Amino acid sequence: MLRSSEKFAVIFFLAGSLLVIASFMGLETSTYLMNLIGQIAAFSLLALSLDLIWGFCGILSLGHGLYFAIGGYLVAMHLVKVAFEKTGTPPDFMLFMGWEDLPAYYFGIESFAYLLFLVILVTLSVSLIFGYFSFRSRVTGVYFAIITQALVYMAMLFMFRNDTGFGGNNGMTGFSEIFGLNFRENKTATILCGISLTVLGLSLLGCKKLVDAPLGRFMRAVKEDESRLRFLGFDTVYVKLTAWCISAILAAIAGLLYVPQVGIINPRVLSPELSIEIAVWVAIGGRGSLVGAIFGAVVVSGLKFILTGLVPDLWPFLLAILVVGIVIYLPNGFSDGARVFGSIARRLVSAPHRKLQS
Amino acid sequence: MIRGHSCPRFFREMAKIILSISWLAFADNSAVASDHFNKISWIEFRNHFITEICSSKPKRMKAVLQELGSFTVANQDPKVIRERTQWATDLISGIQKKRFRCSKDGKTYLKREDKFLDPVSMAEIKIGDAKYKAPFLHLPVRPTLETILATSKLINSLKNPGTLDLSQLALLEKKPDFINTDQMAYLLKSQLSDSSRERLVFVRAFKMLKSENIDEVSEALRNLSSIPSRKTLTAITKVRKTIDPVKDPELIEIADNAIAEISFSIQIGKAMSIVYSGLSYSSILFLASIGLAIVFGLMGVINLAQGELIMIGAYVTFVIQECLAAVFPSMLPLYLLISIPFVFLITGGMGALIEFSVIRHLYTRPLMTLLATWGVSIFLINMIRVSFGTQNLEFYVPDYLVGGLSVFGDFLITWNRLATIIFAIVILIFTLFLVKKTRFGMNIRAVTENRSMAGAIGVNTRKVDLLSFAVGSGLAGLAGLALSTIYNVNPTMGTNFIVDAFMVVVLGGVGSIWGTVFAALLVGMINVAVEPLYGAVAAKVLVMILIIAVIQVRPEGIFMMKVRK
Amino acid sequence: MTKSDQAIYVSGLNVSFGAFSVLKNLSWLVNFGEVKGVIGPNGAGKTTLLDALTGKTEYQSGDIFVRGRHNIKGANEPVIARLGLGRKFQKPSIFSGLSVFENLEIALRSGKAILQSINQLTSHEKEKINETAVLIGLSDCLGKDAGTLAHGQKQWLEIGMLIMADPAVLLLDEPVAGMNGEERTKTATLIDKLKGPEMAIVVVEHDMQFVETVCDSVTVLHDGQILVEGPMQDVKENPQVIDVYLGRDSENA
Ligand SMILES: Nc1ncnc2c1ncn2[C@@H]1O[C@H](COP(=O)(O)OP(=O)(O)O)[C@@H](O)[C@H]1O
Ligand SMILES: [Mg+2]
Repeated sequence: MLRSSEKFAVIFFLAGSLLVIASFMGLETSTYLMNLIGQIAAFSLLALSLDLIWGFCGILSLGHGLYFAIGGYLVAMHLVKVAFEKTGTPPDFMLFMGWEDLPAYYFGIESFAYLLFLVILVTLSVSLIFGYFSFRSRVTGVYFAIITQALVYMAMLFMFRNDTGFGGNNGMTGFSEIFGLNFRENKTATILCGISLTVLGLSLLGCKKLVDAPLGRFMRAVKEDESRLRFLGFDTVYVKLTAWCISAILAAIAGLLYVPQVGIINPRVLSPELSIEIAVWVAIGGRGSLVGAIFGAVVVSGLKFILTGLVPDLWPFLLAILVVGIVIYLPNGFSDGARVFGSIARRLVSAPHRKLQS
Repeated sequence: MIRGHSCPRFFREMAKIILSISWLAFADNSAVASDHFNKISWIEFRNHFITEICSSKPKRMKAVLQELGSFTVANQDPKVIRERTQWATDLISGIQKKRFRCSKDGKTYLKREDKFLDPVSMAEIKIGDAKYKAPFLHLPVRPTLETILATSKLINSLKNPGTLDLSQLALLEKKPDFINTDQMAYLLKSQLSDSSRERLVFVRAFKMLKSENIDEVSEALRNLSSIPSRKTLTAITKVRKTIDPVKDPELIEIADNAIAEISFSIQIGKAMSIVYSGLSYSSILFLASIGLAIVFGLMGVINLAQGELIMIGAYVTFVIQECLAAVFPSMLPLYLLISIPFVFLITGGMGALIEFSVIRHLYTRPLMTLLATWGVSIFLINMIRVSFGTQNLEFYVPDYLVGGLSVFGDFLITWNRLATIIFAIVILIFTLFLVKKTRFGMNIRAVTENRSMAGAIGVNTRKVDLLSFAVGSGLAGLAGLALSTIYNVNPTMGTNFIVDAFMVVVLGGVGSIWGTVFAALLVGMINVAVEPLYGAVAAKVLVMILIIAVIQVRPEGIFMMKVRK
Repeated sequence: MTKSDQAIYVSGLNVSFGAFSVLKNLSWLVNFGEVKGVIGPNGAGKTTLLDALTGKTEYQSGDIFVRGRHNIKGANEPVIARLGLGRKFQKPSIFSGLSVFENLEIALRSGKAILQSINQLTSHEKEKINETAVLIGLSDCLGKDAGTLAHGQKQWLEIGMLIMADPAVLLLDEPVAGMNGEERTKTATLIDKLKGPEMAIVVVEHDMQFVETVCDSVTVLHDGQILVEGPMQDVKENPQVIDVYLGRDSENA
């Protein structure tokens, strides 16, 4: 396991960088495929961010879509502003609200550096404030999970409003270009996909370093026995808060990568369902295993892409059965799965008549 | 005395002269006119009335209609009044339906079921081949016609006490300007229920508001100020603008006072309606979250499919409604009552199934229970979506739940919300009884307090879990039943309630019934009070801030139960 | 800090849960250099006393001073722990997913400021971990997952974790429960080694023999109140104690 995280990180990083370089050298690819891979990479990063906090620190957030949406909405603001400045066509919500100009808080967001700064700033503020008050008052477990869910639900209601300047119900779309690359060009999709993979690789490596560092040990200690740590004189609030904020920022970066690739953001990214789905990816892939979380995201969101196209009515049932089945029978997701299948295979070979243990 | 054909004719001419003189007097002061009416006979008046109507002149028709109104109540004898209002009713409806016709030479008839009647005596007559025409009803005449008809019918309906024709009263309320002051005065003198009297005073006041007589206006203002509604407010505000501040400074003051009083009362009425709909929303929330709270206290798990159990409850209600409509249509109005046991048993059974097949395996992993029950919830949503579609269900609303009682200002106690509140109270009592007084409840409390100890002294904790989960699910189903006639019912409706239900559980504290009641009231009230002013988000934000604030001081909810960890 | 400072000074302490009063107007003293035993029947309130001392349970009234001058009213667990109070729980609580070394390392870092706690370990610190491992007899299993240790070893590891933070007061709740004779002897030796003029040790135990071996003086708690206090010899002969504690204990057994 120790090796494999790093191995995967390198693979993602190299694959991503190669894609970027190749596309500059004129590689033609399938836009659809690139978008698909890029989106799944963004989801994987999202799963990674949740695994960091849930798998290693024992804090389940059912509202991580909030941070994903912060990154997504901010980058959408950036893209809308760029499109407005370059093409002169105002975004739909301006027409809809009868506005002459974009609201004041769009000021300066056409600069990518400022956008990155904003993403970090907003994500940090939200996660710090919410985290501080929750951790300080020792909200944990199920309590914490449902409060985060209530929070993301609230954010969704807010974004559904049409007068906020974030596109309301219809969301924001109509992007024209990013870093001067036109979205219509094939190259753009490839580069975005490459960047997503690269960022995923770097994040995976960073997370691996983090969980192996003393802070990571503290995180695991919090997960195992938080009160023991407190009686040793350690204020666990800060460990949790640090992990929480790092996780939030990773989720925001995932949103930042995701939105340019799908070309739209709307309040549905804030729906409680998406946030729970993130937890489902992690649970299926295996909590506490970084690669597992990515694996879960890839498998579930990949299946979703394929099956919602083929059998749209069946997919929710499959997902439901998958979730319930895995949660009950494979407490550690596929990491268990591998072991169980391994032992099944061994038994089949050695003693086919013996009963399986669960 | 010789009674010839000329006789009525003579009277008619006489009456015409007298009345045309007295009309001026009547217009100014009806009291004089009504004195006067005692002097000409009813029969004379009827002839006069018919002549005037046949003239087809709007002004004259309006005038004589008002005269008729006054005439019907000019005599104090109730029998006479009834006879006259009956005549007025017959004749005016005849005029309206063009069954009353006049010929050029002054002959008239009223047709009733193929019979031709003399409009004055209502005796059957033969009519010649003269040309008869219905008098033309000009637009300005019609409101007066309708109003006098309605008032006459109203007076006529007084013959049995307490049988005031409310539909006619409603007509008057729509057109208070055309009522006849004498008829109104008579009506107000008769025996009436308080609410009808109030409505009548209100109608009269509206008319008096337009009066030239300052005393009347001020009396009207005073009367109206006690009946707060938006309509009154608009009427008074309108009148207030027409008052000359130099000439009638007192009147202005009275009007301003009235406006202030009404605005205040409207505010109160509004507050009361908010409290009321808050209560009904809280009732639903209570039903939705009580099961959640008990189970959370007991097993430390939150059932994310709780919202879907609410939804299923509503769908079961729907199915029962449809079955009744198909098999026993006469029982249909009772479908809500009939559904109660079915909904409780079916959703309770589903709860038991969920507990048995999913939650039971996840005891030590409450976070995983969240995910598993979420899986259950998408399963249920899609099951319903596939079998019923995504559209909102149409629920039959039985008569006894339609409408409500207007209490104060714009505040209306609607029956369906009242039913919800009462239902929730009944369920609360049931739950309290179950938990505090039965053996099962004692077991719930024991297991909540200390699972292993309870197990050690012989409580079958697994069975307690199963049953409590089932009961909690059944109660959620009942919430679905209770909200079916108030809120939209569709496969994804559960999601709208579950988050509020979470907030209730977190705020109320684990496993505490009174905590749940209190938190449901709080969350419900905040939602209903804040939403119309600042939107749903603000309401949720406020609740969230409240929760975070409460958690800072009482991490386990307001009414936490002391449990040794 | 001087020797004359009291390690723990409790005065008029009341703890109750709802209407049920567990500690009743308790006043109590532990001096530095001393090993104090606390005995008493089950439910007497011994664990609750430690809970109140370490900030786990709120107390309704009374005062608790730690190391002479620190009133801990309202302070939370980490703050109290950093005053030098180390506590071992009745049920061994260690991080079973982490190795023995990591357990000790975490304990070492715990008392420090956040930023300091993410640095690499200095060689001095590593040495300290090794020394402690030797002291608690776990130097052979530093790399082992703590969850795989034997019950007695877990208890020692927990004590080792407390030592890492250089405590001034050790509160040991039933340190030899579930141990065999040999392990008890080892634990007694360990406590003897830890004893020193700048250290106060409180041992809550049922095992009279053990208490008699390691403790300088004993407090008998009964029904939330102090029944007797003094050297074990005296306490053992006290008729009240025999009546209330020993009597009931033999009844239970
Ligand atoms: N958190 C709590 N809630 C309710 N009762 C408690 C709590 N903690 C302790 N008690 C009660 O206080 C009494 C003393 O318990 P404890 O201090 O554990 O006794 P012991 O001397 O055996 O360690 C017991 O009767 C126990 O039930
Ligand atoms: Mg104890």
